[in-house]
Amino acid sequence: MKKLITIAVMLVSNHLYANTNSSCVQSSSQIKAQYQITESQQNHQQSRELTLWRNGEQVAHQSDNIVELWQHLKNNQIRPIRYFTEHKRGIEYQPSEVTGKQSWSAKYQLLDKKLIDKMKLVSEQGQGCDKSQLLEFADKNIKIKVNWLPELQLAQSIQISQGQYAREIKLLSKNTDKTLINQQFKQWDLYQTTDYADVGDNENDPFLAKMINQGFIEHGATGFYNQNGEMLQGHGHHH
Amino acid sequence: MKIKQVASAIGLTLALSAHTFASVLPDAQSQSEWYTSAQTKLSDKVAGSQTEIKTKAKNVILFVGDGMGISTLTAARILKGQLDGNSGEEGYLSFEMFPYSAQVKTYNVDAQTPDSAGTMTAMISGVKTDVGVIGVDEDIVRGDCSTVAGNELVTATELAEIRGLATGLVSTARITHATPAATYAKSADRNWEDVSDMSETAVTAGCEDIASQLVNFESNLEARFAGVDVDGIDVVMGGGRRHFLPKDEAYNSNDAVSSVEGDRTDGRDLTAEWQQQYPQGVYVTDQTGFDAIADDTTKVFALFNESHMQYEADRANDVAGEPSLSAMTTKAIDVLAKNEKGFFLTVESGRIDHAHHAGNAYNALSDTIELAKAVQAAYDSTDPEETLILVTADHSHVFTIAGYPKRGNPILGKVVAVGEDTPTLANDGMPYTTVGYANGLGFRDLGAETDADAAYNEAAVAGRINLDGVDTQTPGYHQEVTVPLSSETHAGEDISLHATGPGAHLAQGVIEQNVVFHIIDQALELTE
Repeated sequence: MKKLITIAVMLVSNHLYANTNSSCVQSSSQIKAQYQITESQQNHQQSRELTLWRNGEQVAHQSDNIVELWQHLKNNQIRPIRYFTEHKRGIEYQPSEVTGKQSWSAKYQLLDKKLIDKMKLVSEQGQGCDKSQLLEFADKNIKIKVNWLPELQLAQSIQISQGQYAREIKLLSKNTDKTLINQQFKQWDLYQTTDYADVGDNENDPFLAKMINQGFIEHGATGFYNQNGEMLQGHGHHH
Repeated sequence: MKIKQVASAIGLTLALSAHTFASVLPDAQSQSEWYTSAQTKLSDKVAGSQTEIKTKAKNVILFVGDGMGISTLTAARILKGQLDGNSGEEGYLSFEMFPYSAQVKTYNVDAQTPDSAGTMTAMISGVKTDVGVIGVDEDIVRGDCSTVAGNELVTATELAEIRGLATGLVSTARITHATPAATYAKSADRNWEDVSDMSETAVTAGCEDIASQLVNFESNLEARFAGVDVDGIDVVMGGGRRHFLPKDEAYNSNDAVSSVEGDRTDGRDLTAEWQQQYPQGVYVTDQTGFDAIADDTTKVFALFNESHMQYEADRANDVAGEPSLSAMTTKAIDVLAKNEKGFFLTVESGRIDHAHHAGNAYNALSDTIELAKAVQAAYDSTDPEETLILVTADHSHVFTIAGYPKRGNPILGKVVAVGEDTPTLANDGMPYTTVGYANGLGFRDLGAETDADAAYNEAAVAGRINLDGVDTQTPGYHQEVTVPLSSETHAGEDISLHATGPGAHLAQGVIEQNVVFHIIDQALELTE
């Protein structure tokens, strides 16, 4: 049975990383990448940090007290789990088909692979895992400039401008320590989780009651850009 | 005999009345299809009342639509009719054609609006109890293991086992979820589905998690009743595999959706323990295994999903495939009917409730229609002369059918008034849908998405949305709400009980929910 799962995982991985250096792929499949996100609009500017975690077929976006984790299933569905680190609790969702907002590559590398594919290659430098590319995309609404590490499937920086609004996502550090990454995913896995389908039946649970009565999507860490350069859930919600 | 005489007298009176008054009515009235079809219906009822009422059944099947309130039945009936190409309002769900029905009061001992744990405990044991507890009476303190002993209730499933009947349990929810759990477990908290869900205090004090109680059902029951020898639940089908497997990737099934499927922190593999107890039994996890269940099988343990099974509309997206509720029901009956003494089977459609909690009428109604198919399949697979079929719900939801749509207007569509072709506008100048919710997550337009839970990725949206250009009939449309909550809630209104077969005539009037047990008991003579 394990063999079957391994083969399925390999197929998914091979599809995603076709045309990339295999040793880089291996080192990028377990990675912790810390980003700083700065948003500015007219005279207002605000920054926050986001950590992108990859562990094989699992990806997590960690921001403040929220972790959005997605598991890429062998049937190409994505199963989301939302962890609330302060409460050491999690909410599990049913997997959804990988369409539209559920783009796996948008979660895995912050930018939809289709967007990367249609961006213009301006320049390229370095070799092997260190190879970087400057990519640009522009239409009448939005301009996107990406410093891209193609072998690691990782953005070094992303600059977006849309009218008065600008957003910069900058890679602060990256770490491929497998032990650290395995431990982090294991720690989240130990949190008490509840199926979202069961939340409505658990109003006596203080944590879940808070979610039922006040909403629970606080500063959602996820987001970024689909194939049309459109932002996915860019701004957090506070309820 | 007395019943027959009274019924005959009533029938004669009705027949005379109909003849007398029909003659003074204008033809337009007496020959109206409405008039004649109602007369036919009445005649059928009169004829039915003249047949001898049977009170004792060989088999009982209890269907529970979790969260299937009256408005859900009405909307599902209309949707089913419209999917069949009709106006919809004139049709019936299969069980709505049963001869007897009652209105059922659902409140829990400590709650005006109930939950599934308290309501199913009432239906299956005959005693109302508190919200959130399983198979124990109102003297329990929720979450306090020490209060379980002495407050345990005996269920119809256990009594049927003791009487030597075959017993079965089918659910599209996790088989350890509140409704199915109430048939076999005693727990101070509905959430103690496996040992990792329990406090250390509760485990140390000797309370057993719900999944373990299912696998140990036979030995637990024999321990509680000295001298009793039972053979265990014969058919178990549902979801919830994670509560039966150790938290170890090595135990993942081919259907796993988590990196580690099992949740148990005590290292026990309850599926292996079950197989050890019942070496002749068949354990299956997917559609292929289900299809391979042999005709001579007498024990089945099927866990088709790590958590709840799929919504019927989303079933094709399951990793390893899983059967429909009607297929499971038919298979369960095939296995149970081998017992010559008869059987008691509980079937739950568990995800009607979940779709409503997600504010998604499409899935709630689709699963209700599937439940109606399962009931029809059960009716067709059994002898109506010896099988009592009960169909009910545990509680309702805040789901409404509102506005003044014209006849045949799509039940999931926008209100279009009588004589009109365009949607009626509310005072805010915007169209509105016929069905909606009083509270919950509110509007989402997720198009073809068949998984209702996908709605939870966005915050609650209360109030009005401009629905111009929005197709509200798609699987992924989530209706507007008045009060913003992260999950739509149960409702406190009454629900219905539908009955056919021996003993069905007792389903009449307005009754407390715990009466359901007594109807089952009367039919099967469980406590005599």
